[in-house]
Amino acid sequence: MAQLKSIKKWFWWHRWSSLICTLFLLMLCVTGLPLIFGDEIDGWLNPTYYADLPKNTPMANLDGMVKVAHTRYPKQLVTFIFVDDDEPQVLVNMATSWNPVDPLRHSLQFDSRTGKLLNDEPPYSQKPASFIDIMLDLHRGLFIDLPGELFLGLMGVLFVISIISGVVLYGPFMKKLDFGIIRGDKSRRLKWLDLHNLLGIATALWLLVVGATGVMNELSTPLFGLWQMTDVKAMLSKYHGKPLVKQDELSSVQAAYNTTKKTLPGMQVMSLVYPGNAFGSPYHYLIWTKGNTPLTSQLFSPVLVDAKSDKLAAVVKMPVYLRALELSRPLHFGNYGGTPLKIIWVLFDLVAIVVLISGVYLWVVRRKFYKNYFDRLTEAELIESSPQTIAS
Amino acid sequence: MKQNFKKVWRIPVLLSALILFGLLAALLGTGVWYWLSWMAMLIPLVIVCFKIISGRKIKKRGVSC
Repeated sequence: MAQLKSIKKWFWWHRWSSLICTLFLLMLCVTGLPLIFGDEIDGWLNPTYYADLPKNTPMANLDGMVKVAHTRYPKQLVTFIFVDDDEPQVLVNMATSWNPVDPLRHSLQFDSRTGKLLNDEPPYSQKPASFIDIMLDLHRGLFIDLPGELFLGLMGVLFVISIISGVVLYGPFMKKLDFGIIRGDKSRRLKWLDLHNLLGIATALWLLVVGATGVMNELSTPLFGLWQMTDVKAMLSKYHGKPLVKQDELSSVQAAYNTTKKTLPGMQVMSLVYPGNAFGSPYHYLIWTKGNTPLTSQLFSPVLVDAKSDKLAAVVKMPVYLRALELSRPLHFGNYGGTPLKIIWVLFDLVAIVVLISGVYLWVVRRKFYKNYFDRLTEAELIESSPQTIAS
Repeated sequence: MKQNFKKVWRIPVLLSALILFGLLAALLGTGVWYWLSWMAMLIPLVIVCFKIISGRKIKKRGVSC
Protein backbone atom coordinates (compact mmCIF):
# COMPACT_ATOMS: atom_id res chain seq x y z
CA MET A 1 0.00 0.00 0.00
CA ALA A 2 2.90 2.32 0.75
CA GLN A 3 4.00 1.98 -2.84
CA LEU A 4 0.54 2.89 -4.11
CA LYS A 5 0.56 5.99 -1.92
CA SER A 6 3.91 7.07 -3.29
CA ILE A 7 2.76 6.47 -6.88
CA LYS A 8 -0.27 8.66 -6.21
CA LYS A 9 2.01 11.37 -4.83
CA TRP A 10 4.29 11.29 -7.89
CA PHE A 11 1.24 11.25 -10.05
CA TRP A 12 -0.03 14.44 -8.41
CA TRP A 13 3.32 16.12 -9.08
CA HIS A 14 3.40 14.89 -12.66
CA ARG A 15 -0.13 16.07 -13.39
CA TRP A 16 0.09 19.53 -11.89
CA SER A 17 3.66 20.44 -12.83
CA SER A 18 2.98 19.54 -16.45
CA LEU A 19 -0.51 21.05 -16.63
CA ILE A 20 0.71 24.44 -15.42
CA CYS A 21 3.60 24.62 -17.85
CA THR A 22 2.13 22.84 -20.89
CA LEU A 23 0.73 25.87 -22.69
CA PHE A 24 4.03 27.75 -22.36
CA LEU A 25 6.06 24.69 -23.24
CA LEU A 26 4.00 24.22 -26.39
CA MET A 27 4.74 27.83 -27.33
CA LEU A 28 8.45 27.22 -26.59
CA CYS A 29 8.53 24.06 -28.71
CA VAL A 30 6.79 25.76 -31.64
CA THR A 31 8.86 28.97 -31.57
CA GLY A 32 11.98 26.88 -30.93
CA LEU A 33 11.55 25.02 -34.22
CA PRO A 34 12.47 27.95 -36.53
CA LEU A 35 15.12 29.11 -34.03
CA ILE A 36 17.07 25.86 -34.51
CA PHE A 37 17.72 27.03 -38.07
CA GLY A 38 17.62 30.73 -37.12
CA ASP A 39 20.95 31.69 -38.73
CA GLU A 40 20.07 29.89 -41.97
CA ILE A 41 16.58 31.44 -42.13
CA ASP A 42 17.98 34.93 -41.43
CA GLY A 43 20.56 34.34 -44.17
CA TRP A 44 17.84 33.40 -46.68
CA LEU A 45 15.58 36.30 -45.77
CA ASN A 46 18.33 38.94 -45.66
CA PRO A 47 21.18 37.67 -47.80
CA THR A 48 24.53 39.49 -47.75
CA TYR A 49 26.73 39.15 -50.79
CA TYR A 50 30.41 38.97 -49.93
CA ALA A 51 33.29 39.45 -52.32
CA ASP A 52 34.71 36.14 -53.53
CA LEU A 53 38.14 36.03 -51.88
CA PRO A 54 40.47 33.16 -50.93
CA LYS A 55 39.62 31.51 -47.63
CA ASN A 56 42.76 32.59 -45.81
CA THR A 57 42.54 36.29 -46.68
CA PRO A 58 43.66 38.13 -43.53
CA MET A 59 41.41 40.51 -41.65
CA ALA A 60 41.45 44.17 -42.66
CA ASN A 61 42.49 46.84 -40.15
CA LEU A 62 39.80 47.55 -37.55
CA ASP A 63 41.01 51.15 -37.13
CA GLY A 64 40.12 51.80 -40.76
CA MET A 65 36.56 50.57 -40.21
CA VAL A 66 36.19 52.65 -37.04
CA LYS A 67 37.45 55.68 -38.97
CA VAL A 68 34.78 55.20 -41.64
CA ALA A 69 32.14 54.89 -38.90
CA HIS A 70 33.35 58.06 -37.13
CA THR A 71 33.49 60.00 -40.40
CA ARG A 72 29.87 59.10 -41.09
CA TYR A 73 28.70 59.80 -37.56
CA PRO A 74 31.21 62.24 -35.99
CA LYS A 75 29.09 62.96 -32.93
CA GLN A 76 28.36 59.35 -32.03
CA LEU A 77 30.17 56.83 -29.82
CA VAL A 78 31.51 53.46 -30.90
CA THR A 79 30.08 51.08 -28.28
CA PHE A 80 31.48 47.74 -29.39
CA ILE A 81 32.82 45.86 -32.40
CA PHE A 82 31.61 42.38 -33.27
CA VAL A 83 33.90 40.09 -35.26
CA ASP A 84 31.88 37.26 -36.82
CA ASP A 85 33.46 33.81 -36.93
CA ASP A 86 30.84 32.41 -39.30
CA GLU A 87 30.69 35.00 -42.04
CA PRO A 88 33.41 37.43 -43.18
CA GLN A 89 31.85 40.43 -41.51
CA VAL A 90 32.67 42.96 -38.79
CA LEU A 91 29.91 45.02 -37.18
CA VAL A 92 30.89 48.39 -35.73
CA ASN A 93 28.16 49.38 -33.29
CA MET A 94 27.43 53.04 -32.51
CA ALA A 95 25.06 54.99 -30.28
CA THR A 96 24.35 58.58 -29.29
CA SER A 97 24.92 57.85 -25.57
CA TRP A 98 26.14 55.07 -23.25
CA ASN A 99 22.53 54.09 -22.50
CA PRO A 100 22.54 50.36 -23.30
CA VAL A 101 19.03 50.60 -24.79
CA ASP A 102 19.60 53.85 -26.70
CA PRO A 103 16.88 53.78 -29.40
CA LEU A 104 19.31 55.33 -31.90
CA ARG A 105 21.94 52.60 -31.53
CA HIS A 106 22.85 51.09 -34.86
CA SER A 107 25.53 49.08 -36.59
CA LEU A 108 27.69 49.39 -39.67
CA GLN A 109 28.50 46.18 -41.45
CA PHE A 110 31.97 45.83 -42.99
CA ASP A 111 33.57 43.12 -45.06
CA SER A 112 36.16 41.80 -42.62
CA ARG A 113 38.73 41.13 -45.38
CA THR A 114 38.48 44.27 -47.48
CA GLY A 115 37.36 46.64 -44.72
CA LYS A 116 34.73 48.00 -47.09
CA LEU A 117 31.43 49.25 -45.72
CA LEU A 118 28.70 46.84 -46.86
CA ASN A 119 25.66 48.13 -45.08
CA ASP A 120 24.85 51.14 -42.91
CA GLU A 121 21.90 49.77 -40.96
CA PRO A 122 19.09 52.02 -39.67
CA PRO A 123 18.79 52.68 -35.92
CA TYR A 124 17.53 49.83 -33.78
CA SER A 125 14.18 51.52 -33.08
CA GLN A 126 13.48 52.05 -36.79
CA LYS A 127 14.62 48.65 -37.96
CA PRO A 128 11.75 46.27 -38.68
CA ALA A 129 12.12 43.14 -36.53
CA SER A 130 12.93 40.05 -38.57
CA PHE A 131 10.88 36.86 -38.28
CA ILE A 132 13.65 35.22 -36.27
CA ASP A 133 13.92 38.28 -33.95
CA ILE A 134 10.20 37.98 -33.18
CA MET A 135 10.44 34.23 -32.55
CA LEU A 136 13.47 34.75 -30.30
CA ASP A 137 11.81 37.55 -28.32
CA LEU A 138 8.76 35.38 -27.71
CA HIS A 139 10.79 32.24 -27.00
CA ARG A 140 13.18 33.94 -24.58
CA GLY A 141 10.95 36.34 -22.71
CA LEU A 142 7.36 36.60 -24.04
CA PHE A 143 8.27 40.05 -25.50
CA ILE A 144 8.72 41.51 -21.99
CA ASP A 145 12.43 40.81 -21.42
CA LEU A 146 13.58 40.06 -17.89
CA PRO A 147 10.17 39.41 -16.20
CA GLY A 148 9.26 37.14 -19.11
CA GLU A 149 12.62 35.39 -18.94
CA LEU A 150 12.23 34.67 -15.23
CA PHE A 151 8.64 33.49 -15.72
CA LEU A 152 9.61 31.12 -18.53
CA GLY A 153 12.53 29.95 -16.38
CA LEU A 154 9.99 29.00 -13.71
CA MET A 155 7.91 27.18 -16.31
CA GLY A 156 11.11 25.35 -17.28
CA VAL A 157 11.60 24.26 -13.66
CA LEU A 158 8.05 22.84 -13.67
CA PHE A 159 8.84 21.08 -16.95
CA VAL A 160 11.93 19.48 -15.39
CA ILE A 161 9.81 18.34 -12.41
CA SER A 162 7.24 16.86 -14.78
CA ILE A 163 9.93 14.93 -16.67
CA ILE A 164 11.44 13.52 -13.46
CA SER A 165 8.03 12.55 -12.04
CA GLY A 166 7.08 11.08 -15.42
CA VAL A 167 10.19 8.88 -15.40
CA VAL A 168 9.40 7.76 -11.83
CA LEU A 169 5.85 6.82 -12.88
CA TYR A 170 7.07 4.92 -15.93
CA GLY A 171 8.27 2.01 -13.76
CA PRO A 172 4.94 1.02 -12.16
CA PHE A 173 3.05 1.77 -15.38
CA MET A 174 5.16 -0.64 -17.38
CA LYS A 175 5.39 -3.39 -14.76
CA LYS A 176 3.36 -5.84 -16.79
CA LEU A 177 4.02 -4.41 -20.24
CA ASP A 178 6.76 -4.78 -22.81
CA PHE A 179 8.77 -1.75 -23.87
CA GLY A 180 7.11 0.33 -26.55
CA ILE A 181 3.87 -1.61 -26.68
CA ILE A 182 0.96 0.39 -28.08
CA ARG A 183 -2.38 -1.12 -27.26
CA GLY A 184 -4.22 0.40 -30.19
CA ASP A 185 -6.86 -2.30 -30.27
CA LYS A 186 -8.32 -1.65 -26.83
CA SER A 187 -9.21 2.01 -26.47
CA ARG A 188 -8.12 5.38 -27.71
CA ARG A 189 -7.08 6.40 -24.21
CA LEU A 190 -4.80 3.39 -23.82
CA LYS A 191 -3.29 4.07 -27.21
CA TRP A 192 -2.46 7.67 -26.30
CA LEU A 193 -1.23 6.67 -22.88
CA ASP A 194 1.13 4.11 -24.41
CA LEU A 195 2.29 6.62 -26.99
CA HIS A 196 2.85 9.26 -24.29
CA ASN A 197 4.90 6.77 -22.28
CA LEU A 198 6.92 5.51 -25.22
CA LEU A 199 7.77 8.94 -26.64
CA GLY A 200 8.37 10.40 -23.19
CA ILE A 201 10.73 7.71 -21.94
CA ALA A 202 12.63 7.36 -25.22
CA THR A 203 13.40 11.09 -25.34
CA ALA A 204 13.49 11.72 -21.56
CA LEU A 205 17.17 12.56 -21.42
CA TRP A 206 17.00 15.00 -24.32
CA LEU A 207 13.92 16.66 -22.80
CA LEU A 208 15.69 16.90 -19.44
CA VAL A 209 18.89 18.37 -20.89
CA VAL A 210 17.13 20.90 -23.14
CA GLY A 211 14.70 21.80 -20.33
CA ALA A 212 17.39 22.29 -17.70
CA THR A 213 19.73 24.22 -20.02
CA GLY A 214 16.74 26.36 -21.06
CA VAL A 215 16.21 27.31 -17.41
CA MET A 216 19.91 28.12 -17.13
CA ASN A 217 19.76 30.36 -20.22
CA GLU A 218 16.77 32.25 -18.80
CA LEU A 219 18.98 33.11 -15.82
CA SER A 220 21.71 34.66 -17.96
CA THR A 221 20.75 38.29 -17.23
CA PRO A 222 20.83 37.90 -13.42
CA LEU A 223 23.96 35.72 -13.57
CA PHE A 224 25.90 38.24 -15.68
CA GLY A 225 24.61 40.99 -13.38
CA LEU A 226 25.90 39.08 -10.38
CA TRP A 227 29.31 38.68 -12.03
CA GLN A 228 29.52 42.39 -12.84
CA MET A 229 28.56 43.33 -9.30
CA THR A 230 31.11 41.01 -7.68
CA ASP A 231 34.14 39.84 -9.72
CA VAL A 232 34.21 42.64 -12.30
CA LYS A 233 33.70 45.30 -9.65
CA ALA A 234 36.51 43.84 -7.52
CA MET A 235 38.81 43.66 -10.52
CA LEU A 236 38.20 47.29 -11.48
CA SER A 237 38.41 48.60 -7.90
CA LYS A 238 42.11 49.47 -8.22
CA TYR A 239 41.23 51.93 -10.98
CA HIS A 240 38.55 53.56 -8.86
CA GLY A 241 38.49 57.35 -9.16
CA LYS A 242 40.25 57.44 -12.51
CA PRO A 243 38.29 59.30 -15.17
CA LEU A 244 36.58 57.46 -18.01
CA VAL A 245 38.74 57.16 -21.12
CA LYS A 246 37.02 59.30 -23.75
CA GLN A 247 36.72 58.25 -27.38
CA ASP A 248 39.22 60.86 -28.60
CA GLU A 249 41.81 59.63 -26.08
CA LEU A 250 41.56 55.99 -27.12
CA SER A 251 44.52 54.11 -28.45
CA SER A 252 44.20 51.93 -31.55
CA VAL A 253 41.56 49.20 -31.30
CA GLN A 254 43.53 47.15 -33.83
CA ALA A 255 46.54 47.28 -31.47
CA ALA A 256 44.29 46.06 -28.62
CA TYR A 257 43.18 43.23 -30.91
CA ASN A 258 46.81 42.39 -31.69
CA THR A 259 47.78 42.45 -27.99
CA THR A 260 45.01 39.93 -27.30
CA LYS A 261 46.04 37.66 -30.17
CA LYS A 262 49.67 37.78 -28.97
CA THR A 263 48.73 36.97 -25.36
CA LEU A 264 46.30 34.19 -26.26
CA PRO A 265 47.52 32.80 -29.59
CA GLY A 266 45.02 29.92 -29.68
CA MET A 267 42.02 32.13 -29.08
CA GLN A 268 39.67 33.84 -31.46
CA VAL A 269 38.47 37.41 -30.83
CA MET A 270 34.66 37.65 -30.88
CA SER A 271 34.03 41.21 -29.80
CA LEU A 272 35.75 44.34 -28.50
CA VAL A 273 33.74 46.33 -25.98
CA TYR A 274 34.68 50.01 -25.76
CA PRO A 275 35.43 51.82 -22.47
CA GLY A 276 32.26 53.45 -21.18
CA ASN A 277 29.97 50.63 -22.28
CA ALA A 278 27.77 49.44 -19.37
CA PHE A 279 28.97 45.90 -20.10
CA GLY A 280 32.65 46.75 -20.04
CA SER A 281 35.29 48.68 -18.09
CA PRO A 282 35.64 52.49 -18.06
CA TYR A 283 39.41 52.22 -18.60
CA HIS A 284 39.90 49.22 -20.86
CA TYR A 285 38.87 47.55 -24.02
CA LEU A 286 37.04 44.42 -22.85
CA ILE A 287 37.78 41.79 -25.45
CA TRP A 288 35.78 38.56 -25.56
CA THR A 289 37.70 35.59 -26.91
CA LYS A 290 36.92 31.93 -27.42
CA GLY A 291 38.95 28.80 -28.04
CA ASN A 292 39.48 26.84 -31.23
CA THR A 293 38.63 23.29 -30.14
CA PRO A 294 35.02 22.01 -30.14
CA LEU A 295 34.67 22.39 -26.37
CA THR A 296 36.70 25.56 -25.81
CA SER A 297 34.93 27.32 -28.71
CA GLN A 298 31.92 27.31 -26.37
CA LEU A 299 33.90 28.81 -23.48
CA PHE A 300 34.54 32.54 -23.56
CA SER A 301 37.41 34.34 -21.84
CA PRO A 302 37.37 38.10 -21.46
CA VAL A 303 40.63 40.04 -21.69
CA LEU A 304 41.19 43.59 -20.46
CA VAL A 305 43.51 45.76 -22.52
CA ASP A 306 44.42 49.26 -21.31
CA ALA A 307 42.51 51.67 -23.54
CA LYS A 308 45.31 54.28 -23.52
CA SER A 309 48.50 52.21 -23.70
CA ASP A 310 47.18 49.07 -25.42
CA LYS A 311 49.01 46.98 -22.80
CA LEU A 312 47.44 43.81 -21.47
CA ALA A 313 45.81 44.46 -18.08
CA ALA A 314 44.27 41.08 -17.26
CA VAL A 315 42.96 37.79 -18.60
CA VAL A 316 39.74 37.46 -16.63
CA LYS A 317 38.85 34.13 -15.02
CA MET A 318 35.21 33.20 -15.40
CA PRO A 319 33.31 31.88 -12.39
CA VAL A 320 31.85 28.36 -12.44
CA TYR A 321 28.26 29.57 -12.82
CA LEU A 322 29.09 31.47 -16.01
CA ARG A 323 30.99 28.47 -17.37
CA ALA A 324 27.86 26.39 -16.74
CA LEU A 325 25.79 29.05 -18.51
CA GLU A 326 28.12 28.98 -21.50
CA LEU A 327 27.85 25.20 -21.79
CA SER A 328 24.07 25.48 -21.49
CA ARG A 329 23.87 27.44 -24.71
CA PRO A 330 24.98 24.80 -27.24
CA LEU A 331 23.19 22.03 -25.35
CA HIS A 332 19.96 24.03 -25.58
CA PHE A 333 20.34 25.34 -29.14
CA GLY A 334 21.72 22.14 -30.74
CA ASN A 335 23.97 24.27 -32.93
CA TYR A 336 27.26 22.54 -32.19
CA GLY A 337 27.21 19.43 -34.35
CA GLY A 338 26.52 20.45 -37.92
CA THR A 339 23.24 20.44 -39.84
CA PRO A 340 22.37 16.79 -39.03
CA LEU A 341 22.37 17.59 -35.31
CA LYS A 342 20.01 20.51 -35.99
CA ILE A 343 17.68 18.16 -37.86
CA ILE A 344 17.84 15.73 -34.93
CA TRP A 345 16.93 18.67 -32.66
CA VAL A 346 13.88 19.38 -34.84
CA LEU A 347 12.80 15.72 -34.64
CA PHE A 348 13.15 15.61 -30.85
CA ASP A 349 11.27 18.91 -30.63
CA LEU A 350 8.40 17.42 -32.67
CA VAL A 351 8.33 14.39 -30.36
CA ALA A 352 8.18 16.79 -27.39
CA ILE A 353 5.12 18.48 -28.93
CA VAL A 354 3.34 15.10 -29.23
CA VAL A 355 4.25 14.24 -25.61
CA LEU A 356 2.79 17.57 -24.43
CA ILE A 357 -0.43 17.29 -26.45
CA SER A 358 -0.98 13.64 -25.52
CA GLY A 359 -0.42 14.60 -21.88
CA VAL A 360 -3.17 17.20 -22.07
CA TYR A 361 -5.47 14.71 -23.80
CA LEU A 362 -4.86 12.14 -21.05
CA TRP A 363 -5.74 14.73 -18.44
CA VAL A 364 -8.97 15.66 -20.23
CA VAL A 365 -10.16 12.04 -20.30
CA ARG A 366 -8.71 11.36 -16.88
CA ARG A 367 -11.25 10.56 -14.21
CA LYS A 368 -12.75 7.21 -14.94
CA PHE A 369 -9.59 6.01 -16.55
CA TYR A 370 -7.27 6.65 -13.60
CA LYS A 371 -9.76 5.30 -11.11
CA ASN A 372 -9.63 2.05 -13.06
CA TYR A 373 -5.86 2.22 -13.21
CA PHE A 374 -5.45 2.64 -9.45
CA ASP A 375 -8.00 -0.12 -8.81
CA ARG A 376 -5.97 -2.42 -11.02
CA LEU A 377 -2.74 -1.45 -9.25
CA THR A 378 -4.29 -2.15 -5.85
CA GLU A 379 -5.48 -5.51 -7.08
CA ALA A 380 -2.09 -6.34 -8.51
CA GLU A 381 -0.39 -5.45 -5.25
CA LEU A 382 -2.77 -7.65 -3.27
CA ILE A 383 -2.06 -10.57 -5.57
CA GLU A 384 1.67 -9.98 -5.38
CA SER A 385 1.72 -9.81 -1.61
CA SER A 386 -0.48 -12.89 -1.08
CA PRO A 387 2.16 -15.59 -1.80
CA GLN A 388 4.41 -13.99 0.81
CA THR A 389 1.59 -14.23 3.34
CA ILE A 390 1.28 -17.92 2.59
CA ALA A 391 5.03 -18.47 2.87
CA SER A 392 5.22 -16.81 6.24
CA MET B 1 10.91 -8.25 -8.67
CA LYS B 2 14.52 -7.56 -9.61
CA GLN B 3 14.06 -9.23 -12.97
CA ASN B 4 10.97 -7.14 -13.62
CA PHE B 5 12.91 -3.97 -12.82
CA LYS B 6 15.56 -5.00 -15.30
CA LYS B 7 12.98 -5.79 -17.94
CA VAL B 8 11.22 -2.44 -17.56
CA TRP B 9 14.35 -0.27 -17.45
CA ARG B 10 16.80 -2.02 -19.77
CA ILE B 11 15.78 -0.26 -22.99
CA PRO B 12 15.00 3.19 -21.49
CA VAL B 13 18.45 3.23 -19.82
CA LEU B 14 20.10 2.15 -23.06
CA LEU B 15 18.31 4.86 -25.07
CA SER B 16 19.20 7.52 -22.49
CA ALA B 17 22.82 6.40 -22.58
CA LEU B 18 22.82 6.74 -26.38
CA ILE B 19 21.38 10.26 -26.18
CA LEU B 20 23.89 11.26 -23.50
CA PHE B 21 26.72 9.89 -25.61
CA GLY B 22 25.37 11.72 -28.68
CA LEU B 23 25.06 15.03 -26.86
CA LEU B 24 28.60 14.84 -25.51
CA ALA B 25 30.33 13.33 -28.57
CA ALA B 26 29.52 16.33 -30.77
CA LEU B 27 30.39 18.74 -27.95
CA LEU B 28 33.79 17.24 -27.18
CA GLY B 29 34.88 15.92 -30.56
CA THR B 30 34.68 16.59 -34.24
CA GLY B 31 34.89 14.61 -37.48
CA VAL B 32 34.07 10.99 -36.75
CA TRP B 33 32.59 11.96 -33.37
CA TYR B 34 29.96 14.02 -35.20
CA TRP B 35 28.92 10.92 -37.12
CA LEU B 36 28.83 8.82 -33.97
CA SER B 37 26.75 11.52 -32.27
CA TRP B 38 24.19 11.65 -35.10
CA MET B 39 23.91 7.86 -35.23
CA ALA B 40 23.55 7.53 -31.46
CA MET B 41 20.83 10.17 -31.27
CA LEU B 42 18.91 8.80 -34.24
CA ILE B 43 18.60 5.31 -32.72
CA PRO B 44 15.95 6.28 -30.09
CA LEU B 45 13.93 8.07 -32.79
CA VAL B 46 14.14 5.10 -35.14
CA ILE B 47 13.10 2.69 -32.38
CA VAL B 48 10.12 4.90 -31.53
CA CYS B 49 9.03 4.94 -35.20
CA PHE B 50 9.48 1.18 -35.42
CA LYS B 51 7.37 0.61 -32.30
CA ILE B 52 4.59 2.88 -33.53
CA ILE B 53 4.49 1.18 -36.94
CA SER B 54 4.53 -2.33 -35.47
CA GLY B 55 1.78 -1.31 -33.02
CA ARG B 56 -0.39 -0.35 -35.97
CA LYS B 57 0.27 -3.62 -37.73
CA ILE B 58 -0.88 -5.55 -34.69
CA LYS B 59 -4.06 -3.51 -34.64
CA LYS B 60 -4.74 -4.19 -38.30
CA ARG B 61 -4.25 -7.92 -37.90
CA GLY B 62 -6.53 -7.85 -34.91
CA VAL B 63 -4.00 -9.56 -32.68
CA SER B 64 -4.49 -8.55 -29.07
CA CYS B 65 -1.45 -8.17 -26.86
